[in-house]
Amino acid sequence: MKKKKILKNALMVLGSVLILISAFLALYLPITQSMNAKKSKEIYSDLKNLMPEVQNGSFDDRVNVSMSALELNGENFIGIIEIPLYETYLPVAMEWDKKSISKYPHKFTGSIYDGSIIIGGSGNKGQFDFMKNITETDSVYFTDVTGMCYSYKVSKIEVVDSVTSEGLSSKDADLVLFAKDTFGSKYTVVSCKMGK
Amino acid sequence: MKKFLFFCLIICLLIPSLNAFAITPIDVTHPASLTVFYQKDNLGFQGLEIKTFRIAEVFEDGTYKLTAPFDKYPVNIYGISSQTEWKNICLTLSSFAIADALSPSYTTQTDVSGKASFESIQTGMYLTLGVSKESSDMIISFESFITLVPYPSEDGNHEYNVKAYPKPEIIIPTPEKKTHKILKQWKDTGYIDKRPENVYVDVYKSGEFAFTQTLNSENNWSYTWESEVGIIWTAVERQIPAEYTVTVTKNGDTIILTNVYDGKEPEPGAPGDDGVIYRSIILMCLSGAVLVILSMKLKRSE
Repeated sequence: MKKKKILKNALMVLGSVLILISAFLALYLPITQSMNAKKSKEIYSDLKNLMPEVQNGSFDDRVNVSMSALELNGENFIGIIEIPLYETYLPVAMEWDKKSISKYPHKFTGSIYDGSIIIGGSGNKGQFDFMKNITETDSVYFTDVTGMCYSYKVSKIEVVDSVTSEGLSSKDADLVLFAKDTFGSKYTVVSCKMGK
Repeated sequence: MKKFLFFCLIICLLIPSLNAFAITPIDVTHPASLTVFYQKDNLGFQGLEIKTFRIAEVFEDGTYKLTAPFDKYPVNIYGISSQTEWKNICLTLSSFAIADALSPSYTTQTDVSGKASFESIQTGMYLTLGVSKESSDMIISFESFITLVPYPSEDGNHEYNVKAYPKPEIIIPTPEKKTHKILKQWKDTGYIDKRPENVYVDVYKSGEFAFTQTLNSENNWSYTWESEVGIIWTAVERQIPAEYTVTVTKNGDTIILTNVYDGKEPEPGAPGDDGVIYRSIILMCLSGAVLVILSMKLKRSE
């Protein structure tokens, strides 16, 4: 009888704690996402002011395709990505870091200059949430930190269960964007080809 | 801002093309000449002092190697294939030549037709510094350029008497001042711990030393200042870290000094998001609810 009482209380306490934690997270996460989105906008704006005058970039046959980075408040960025149709204006961090992609997108691998760049982000509001609505032929712009702006058109949108480095690198695209959706169940992969 | 173009110089700069066109080896002892035309709309600019530096020797097979004093600068000129990269090398080496007041290999003045002739010069790669001329209502500026002497001709031979036609840029002075900027950038993904805490940049105003500026993370590795229109600003980095080479580029009124680390970019690891996700929250909430319901059932059964 006593044991039953202890078990009953333990279940009640544990159950209540789990509900409270999930309620807290359900409230906390949107606030964090909102703060991240605001911070991301500030970084985007600061980067734009720091970068040289924007010009239309053109692809050449350079051998050294590594991308320059600007250090801003201790973080390193390789450029900005803009999708005006969805009011998406984001900085892109230099190195892949899974722990901080909730703040802003990061370069996963590759380079703009040889059409191999892959950028990963989060499906959170204010970041790669445009992926819910993006369609083929939508325009995407990437400006590197030297001020060169490159134009792309979306060529393919895929929703997949998982992503791998090899799978992302094998896309027939000049720019690949990917993100996990908010519920964490699927990835959206957006392939883009050069062109206005 | 107008983009500078390098006319026939572009042909000279494409070293792979040199190998593609040329069948005959280069005769490195062959007398050569470089003639540069400083003209606009067929009007020549007389009296311009033109300085050219032999920055590299060229070998029979078309390869080249930096010569003193340019071989002491941490600048990579090898494996280059694009005009953009050559233009950046040109700006970088000319910035150093100005900053260190290097003695040119050859100097001459333009004649009445704007022609500058360098006769009986050695074969090699030449950097010719830019010049500008002020008139009553404008400034005409010709940018620095790099030429290869000889350059390959389409018949598989080499042209040892090279002609160049740098494009003029017209600058109209205005009373308003312009904002200039120096900006530090890095190509060192995976090696950012190798960066120094500060970099020191010497800035030159029309070839004369103007000031030294320290760039670091506190100023976001950048500095701005204002000046009159028509002044040519150049900049060089001093005390460049050992593992880095440097490139100077210009975009509008921004001078970009990029340090390039000599190391392979590391692999990124697996893609994917490790963050907390809503599905986990829902599961947690449901689990909690189940436990609470179980608890209440246990209470009723008592």
